[in-house]
Amino acid sequence: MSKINLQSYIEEKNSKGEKVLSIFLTAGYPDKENFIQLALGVLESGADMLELGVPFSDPLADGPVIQASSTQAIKNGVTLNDVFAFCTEIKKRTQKPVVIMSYLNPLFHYGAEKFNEGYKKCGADGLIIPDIIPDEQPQFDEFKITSEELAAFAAPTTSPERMRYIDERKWSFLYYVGMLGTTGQSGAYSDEQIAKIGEAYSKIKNNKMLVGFGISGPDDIKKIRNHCDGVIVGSLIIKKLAEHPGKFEPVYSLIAALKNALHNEKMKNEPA
Amino acid sequence: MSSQSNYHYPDALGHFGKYGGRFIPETLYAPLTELENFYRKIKDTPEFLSELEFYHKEFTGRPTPLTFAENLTKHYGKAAVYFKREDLCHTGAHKINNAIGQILIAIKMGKKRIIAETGAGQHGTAVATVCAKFGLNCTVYMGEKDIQRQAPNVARMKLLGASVVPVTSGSKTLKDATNEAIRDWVTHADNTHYIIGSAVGPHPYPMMVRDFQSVIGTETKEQLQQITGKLPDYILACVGGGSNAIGIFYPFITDESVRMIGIEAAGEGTETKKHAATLGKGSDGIFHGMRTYLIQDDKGQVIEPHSVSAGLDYPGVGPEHSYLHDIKRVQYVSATDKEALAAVKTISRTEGIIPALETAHALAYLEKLLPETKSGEIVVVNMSGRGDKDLATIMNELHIE
Ligand SMILES: Cc1ncc(COP(=O)(O)O)c(C=O)c1O
Repeated sequence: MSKINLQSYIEEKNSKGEKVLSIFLTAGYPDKENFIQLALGVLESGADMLELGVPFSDPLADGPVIQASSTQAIKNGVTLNDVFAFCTEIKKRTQKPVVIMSYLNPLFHYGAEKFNEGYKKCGADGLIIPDIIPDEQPQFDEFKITSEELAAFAAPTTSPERMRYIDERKWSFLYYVGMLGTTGQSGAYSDEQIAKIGEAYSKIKNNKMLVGFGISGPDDIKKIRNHCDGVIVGSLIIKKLAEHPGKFEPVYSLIAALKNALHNEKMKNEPA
Repeated sequence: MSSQSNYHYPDALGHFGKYGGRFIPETLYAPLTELENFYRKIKDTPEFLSELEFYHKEFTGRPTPLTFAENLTKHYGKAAVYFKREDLCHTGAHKINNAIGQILIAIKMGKKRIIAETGAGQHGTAVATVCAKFGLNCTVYMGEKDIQRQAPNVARMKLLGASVVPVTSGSKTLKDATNEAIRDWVTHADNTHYIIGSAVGPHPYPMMVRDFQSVIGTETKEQLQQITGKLPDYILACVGGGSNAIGIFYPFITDESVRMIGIEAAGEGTETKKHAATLGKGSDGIFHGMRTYLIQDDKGQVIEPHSVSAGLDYPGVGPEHSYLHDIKRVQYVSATDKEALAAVKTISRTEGIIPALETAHALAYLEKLLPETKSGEIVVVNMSGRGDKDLATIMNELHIE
């Protein structure tokens, strides 16, 4: 299984008039046993890309929903080795990209060399680290993972100069934090937030931009879809899982609805 | 001991050796940079320094005395022991030195709302106090477990008009309160300043908190010079996040003859899992926006620490301490819950000062250190806070009727 270059993958989707739907799952949540089934179901329901979240005790960028799932996954005994194993299995059965999302400390503690080995072997197509900024990148050099495999972040607080600085390099994609705050905030995107996203999107030259944080349903996606190359949905999915213990169907139909909002309806009711 | 004749940390990116820095969501890059630039611009201006001095004199009650612990000194018959009396600061601990400094900055930056985390409630109380004085809206995050064990400080914060938000995630203590405060700041940085309570977190916090707490060491140096004409031979301070310790150590870092000892909380013993001895037992990690020593399991998950004192119950430590530990400029040791409780009683009865449980960890180490000293030597202990807030715990643990 050869690695998928995320930028080319997103580019290819875009060239067909499609935007990318990336779905975040906390690895090993709700349980370890059925996780691979869940992940494959998510991809079959319409996700174009899967993010496997490594559970961490202190997920600073996340809100209560993902934090609780992370705590549960740790209780389930999920480790980085399990995440590699999940990834290996999932990659065997899908053509779509799978990326690993982790706070820095679990990787750091695992060790750069060992991590690199596991990461390469499991076939992951990229890595998202929410608590490393380009300025601290040198401290991550020993992991020997190229920036083309890493996501960079930008937020509404990111200045135009800094945006240029971040966009100078080619990343796997630019993760735009659409809403100030942590993941999973309730409330629809405001016009002001949409305007900010649009402004950022118009400035990005060298990278593909996916928007995430606080996407609360199909309506948000309809508002955002013309201002990005794709969207990332996490808390909404985890919340659905928590609301329907033991059932994955509700998540699958949610993903189908998100996909629909992102893609199909656009053809009908929007000017080109 | 290594020579520190030209100690100038942190570097431009906030690193103390390999520690410190900024490990944060991108959203916080802008507010942290704004804070850093603003702070660097005004920190040495005569106007700011005189304003700070004014409030320290009129409100904090500075300079705090350097008290000769006569009975204790006589009892051991070795080194002379002095206490730097931060317990006499308004609100009862050194925390207000930092709170005043930061609120002056926040006001100049035009922020209208202040948030803080607190463990023992001393920092929360200090922040609630300065918010009341300067008329800013105040929200304090506090672990549910700490709310229970530090009831008097919760009452004080509420009386001062702060809203105290109970934190129920994770271990329900200081680390989780810090997570929640950071999350709040990520969301509201445009109008809100986060007054972090110790020399921890992403750059510029460890540097800024150190600078504001350094008034402790600067005064100590002057006062001891006046009393004895000498430098101390030893300086002792308890280490939670490390703000009172770095505050008293920093002005002496280049004075090579001064031995500095930081005392961490050993809880039920560093051989057990229930301790908070980050430098003693932890390892290199990334936590709360900084690279530093961290108490973590073999998977890199942060372990809930334990200490009888809420203010030391923190799994990380300020990055400058990690550096000072590695270069061996400061020696870090630990004291158990039991030793700290015993020291509370001893110091209360010999010196007429009821110390905070946090401070008691530093005091407990005197019992080991003093017999090793020589007469003519001088030991200074940073009396970081008073014990009123801990009375319920102390009476309960010591079974005093
Ligand atoms: C009296 C007192 N001393 C020490 C500490 C520990 O903090 P630090 O290590 O930042 O001085 C606290 C924290 O609440 C405290 O209240």
